Amino acid sequence: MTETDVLRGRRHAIYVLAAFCGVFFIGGIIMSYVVAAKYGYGTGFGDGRLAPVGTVKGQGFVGDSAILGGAFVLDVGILFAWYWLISRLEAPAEDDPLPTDDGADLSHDENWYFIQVPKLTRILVAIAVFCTAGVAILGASILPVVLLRYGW
Amino acid sequence: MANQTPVQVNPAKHSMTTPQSDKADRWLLAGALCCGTIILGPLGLILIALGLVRLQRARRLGEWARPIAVTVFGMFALVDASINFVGWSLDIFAHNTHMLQTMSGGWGRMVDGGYYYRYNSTWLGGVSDRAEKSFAMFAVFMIFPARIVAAWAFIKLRRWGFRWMILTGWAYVFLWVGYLSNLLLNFPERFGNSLYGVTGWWIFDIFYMTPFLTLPWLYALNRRRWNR
Repeated sequence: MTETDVLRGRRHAIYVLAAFCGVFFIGGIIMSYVVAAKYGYGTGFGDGRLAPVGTVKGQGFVGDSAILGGAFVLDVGILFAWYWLISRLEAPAEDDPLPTDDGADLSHDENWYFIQVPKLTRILVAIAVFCTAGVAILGASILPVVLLRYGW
Repeated sequence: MANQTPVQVNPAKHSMTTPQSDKADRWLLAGALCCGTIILGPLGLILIALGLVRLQRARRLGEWARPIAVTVFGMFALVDASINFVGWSLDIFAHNTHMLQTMSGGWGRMVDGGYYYRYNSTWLGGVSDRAEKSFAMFAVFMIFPARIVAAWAFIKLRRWGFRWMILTGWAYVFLWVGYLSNLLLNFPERFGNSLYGVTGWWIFDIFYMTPFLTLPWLYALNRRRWNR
């Protein structure tokens, strides 16, 4: 296979992978509504049913604080463990050296790409910015919305 | 310990001092940490935006800096993975607290019945749906902590960061496929047991499409640039 074939092949695969994103989410959403209809539900608004809700029972302020503090410590521990492991297993070594400097001018963005897909990159960056904001804002809204709706 | 050879770490011109970019990275990291707390997400976004502005300023001043797309995708992966990691880890480690039960109960009643129905009824506690709990374990102990460290290393142009962004990206795609299948298979207990069901869940969760967006773009990059 020539270098041109490799480049063309990878470019095609990149576009197929990007299209898969649309197919997966559009397909997933359609499937969700199909399954909803199969079980006798509608869009989800106004046709939901609630099962009995259990009572909330914490461990008191001190107990809850200790649990949350412990969870924080465990999270940091897990993160550190992964960092420790990957950074050592994947450290550059003689059997797997870093690439040599090719002297490219890295102030030009195109030199960062093996396959030039500027339009696709712009679209993906715009969606990524939108999604980052969505993830952060909607994630942060859960507790306030729950407190307003159901109380503490 | 025989035959040890010095390893080439290629400092070359890419590791020249970049004080403005390093400062910008600190703003980005602070933003990601805030987003990771979940509740401080909007503040985190502001810090990330300030970091991006500082990074652009550094580029305009002629200081060497990576392309903005690298930072945007790295931060997207970092924020997404942090929220997933912290959210699910609270269900695993802190399901006995009043705050978690309130939050899970409310979230469950609104969009995913699995988060309130028979909550804390299994030996692991928290969400009672077996498959959901299995995904949570996979998420908290495997994929998301690995993705968090990979995303930061990717931003810092470490080679292993690039490799693990791809590896955890695929793992996240596999997670999405399994997770969605499980949700739909347990429709009556999950979507059906909530107020806003299907539509509510998709409005909240479609934003977590990180790997689907990132993977095609990662394969377009020249991996030689990740040479630290």
